[in-house]
Amino acid sequence: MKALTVVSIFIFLFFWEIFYWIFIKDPFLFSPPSRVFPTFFNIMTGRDPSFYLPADIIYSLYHYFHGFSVAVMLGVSLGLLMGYSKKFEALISPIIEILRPIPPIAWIPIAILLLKLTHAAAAFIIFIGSFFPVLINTRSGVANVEIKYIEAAMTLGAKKSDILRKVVIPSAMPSIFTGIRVGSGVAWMCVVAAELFGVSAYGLGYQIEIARLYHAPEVVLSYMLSIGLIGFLLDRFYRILEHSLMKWRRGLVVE
Amino acid sequence: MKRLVALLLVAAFLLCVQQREEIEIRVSHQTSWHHTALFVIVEKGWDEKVFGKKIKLTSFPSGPPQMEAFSAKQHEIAYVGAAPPLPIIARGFDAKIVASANLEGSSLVSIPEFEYKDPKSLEGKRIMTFPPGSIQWTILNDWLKKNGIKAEIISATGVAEIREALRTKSIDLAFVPDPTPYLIVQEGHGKIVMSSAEMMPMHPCCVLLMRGDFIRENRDIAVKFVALHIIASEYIKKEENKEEVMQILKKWLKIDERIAREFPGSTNFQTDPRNENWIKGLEELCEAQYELGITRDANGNVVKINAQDIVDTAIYSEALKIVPEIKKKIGLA
Amino acid sequence: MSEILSVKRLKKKFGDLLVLDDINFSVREGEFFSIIGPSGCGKTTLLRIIAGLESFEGEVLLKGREIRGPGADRVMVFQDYALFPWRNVIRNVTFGLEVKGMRKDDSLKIAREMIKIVGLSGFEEKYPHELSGGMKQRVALARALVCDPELLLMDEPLSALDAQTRLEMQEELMRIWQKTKKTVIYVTHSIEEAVYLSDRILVLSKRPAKVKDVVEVFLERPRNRFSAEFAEICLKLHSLLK
Repeated sequence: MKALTVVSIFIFLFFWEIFYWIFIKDPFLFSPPSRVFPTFFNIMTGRDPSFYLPADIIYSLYHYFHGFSVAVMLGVSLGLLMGYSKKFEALISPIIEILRPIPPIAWIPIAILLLKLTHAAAAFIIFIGSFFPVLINTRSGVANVEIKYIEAAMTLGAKKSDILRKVVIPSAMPSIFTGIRVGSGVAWMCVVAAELFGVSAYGLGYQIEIARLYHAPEVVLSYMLSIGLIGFLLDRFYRILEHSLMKWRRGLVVE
Repeated sequence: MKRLVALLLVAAFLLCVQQREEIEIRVSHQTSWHHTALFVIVEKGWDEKVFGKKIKLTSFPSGPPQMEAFSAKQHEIAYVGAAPPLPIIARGFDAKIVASANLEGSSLVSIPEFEYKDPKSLEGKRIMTFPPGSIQWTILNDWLKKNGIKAEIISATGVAEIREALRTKSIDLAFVPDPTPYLIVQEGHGKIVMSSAEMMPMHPCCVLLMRGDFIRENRDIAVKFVALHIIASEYIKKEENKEEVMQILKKWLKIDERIAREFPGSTNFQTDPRNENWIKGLEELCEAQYELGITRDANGNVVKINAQDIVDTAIYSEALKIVPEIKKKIGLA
Repeated sequence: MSEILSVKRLKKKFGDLLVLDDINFSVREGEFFSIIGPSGCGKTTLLRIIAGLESFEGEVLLKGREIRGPGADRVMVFQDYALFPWRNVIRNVTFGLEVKGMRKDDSLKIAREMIKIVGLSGFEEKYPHELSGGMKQRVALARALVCDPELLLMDEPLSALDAQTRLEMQEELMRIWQKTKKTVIYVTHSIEEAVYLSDRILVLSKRPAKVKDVVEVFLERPRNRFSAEFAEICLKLHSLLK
């Protein structure tokens, strides 16, 4: 299996290289892997005078954690409330439904006006983007707890608080985790978008814009590559976390 | 027989007319009074008198976006800073600097509360300027580097963003070309801290840039244009033309009387690219951009441009020769 | 044997639909009491009422006190086990003890004992998805029994098992019941199962359900499914259900 992955990567690189030399051939517009990979190595190891990838990765991850952690805390708690209490749901739901379709990018002008060009502004965009998946998945996980577990708990003498803590939340965990994983993906995409639009003077998205102004597509592509890699690693991380925390799901193919 | 000759004549005439209509002279510039020579040429209709039609103008908020359009061959001639062309020439784009337009003319502006004592006052401050590759970006970063200062440099595509950022105090300082510093002071949103001349004395600012293939295929137009540029630059320097120039600036840059008066018409509008000091200044800019790692070749390797290689002095020499004839054509003594 | 549960004039409506009509019966302490009836007659509803999961009109007294809502004195074992999938076997069993506030060590000890009684020693760390149907039912039983309930309510607990396992589990159920001496109220649609397990059998009529009869099963345990007496009682019940 792993051999197949390696082969497909090489085929992809091969076509990328060919594509450049046959169709583009213009160093202003695009770069082949033979230029991108040496550049990637240089900006990763500090050999490049203008770009230093590790620093940008750290800044972007900082924006990501800053915004995403708030999204998780707020999203899970509101989701719990909304899924558990019909009154609360009726109260909050209209606001949520109106705000949800607004793309995070549309919030950028407001973020810049209110929070200026600071890390907080970038974190806010990331928060807005990732909040809703976390909220919606948590809410549905809580709302869709199977009645049979609640009734079983009741006849075993559980009080309301016991049911919430020991039945509702554990039962909703898979959905909550899905919400977190999906939210993380959105959060990472928002990082680049927020930084690209100049909400912050640091980070991967910002440097892509700078590299464009340097007329250096090989740098742009190197940054794009690292964005993809980190997004991939983040997703892996959450899957592994989910896998280890919820051993009981391993036997279930269809819920 | 007569009919055939008549037909041929008509065909030849049509062909000539066709040819002239095909060549559009497209010139780009910024809303800065560094490009006053161009404004004079167009305002006084000298382009029509020499080329038989008006030149087509495009305005850009700063050098780097202008050079992006230039490298996409959207125009042939550019009034632009000496720095923005360097990265695209390094990457392999064929263009030459055919004349100088002006020297210096940018300033470091701060919010009113800021107190400047020495270079170290800028440590850690948020400074906004034009995008990477521009004269302002090059000189500012070079100066900071030479003084060992680390500041947060934020990019803005144009002056609108910068003026807004100063107004809301989301930055501490900005480095901008004239006349913006005066506008900012007039509005009370900032004060001038130092001029670019103090950072890099006598530095070349704006130049006349032309695409390589345009020079080769339309050399006569290129030479004529440089001649107009020389004439216009001289015109600006004359005291008796001061009022007229101010009116032109007020119209083209949308500034008022008070700001227009700050225009340094008599100085700095030097055009000769053969001037040794000017070449040295250009060399300094090439060096600075090399240090900053922005001049890279097609493979992405950082390279240093040689100032001599990117300047075409032949055109200038030829232009000088035809200046008297052009002057007659446009009605100047 | 004293009376532990008394049901008088019990009526249940779902909206306009009358499901249970004037149900009267009582259950003796320590007995195995089954409820049978035609499909859809309301047996499960009756059990759920006793469990405290449904509202009702009439009187239901547990040891003389009116029942109010669900509680650990009337634990229910469900047809689809309702084991908590996120907890392993032993933690499922300790659930009722946890909500009572018992300390972890004590609850684990008691749970282990009960797991032994139901015959699942060695499976404490397993998760429900790793168990067979019969094993899951044993866990559900253990979970209910550790609460030491007054009544053990069982809603067709063996219906989801295959025929072979079902017969085995009936015997296991007998063994465990005889060991723990609990009062069991057992709903089933299998006449043979009711006859095998119960001391007395309540027969309900078609909807709206009334009490048709209460049949005593005087046979000694362990019962022989193939004896004449066994068949006689089954026949009697069959005709009652027609």
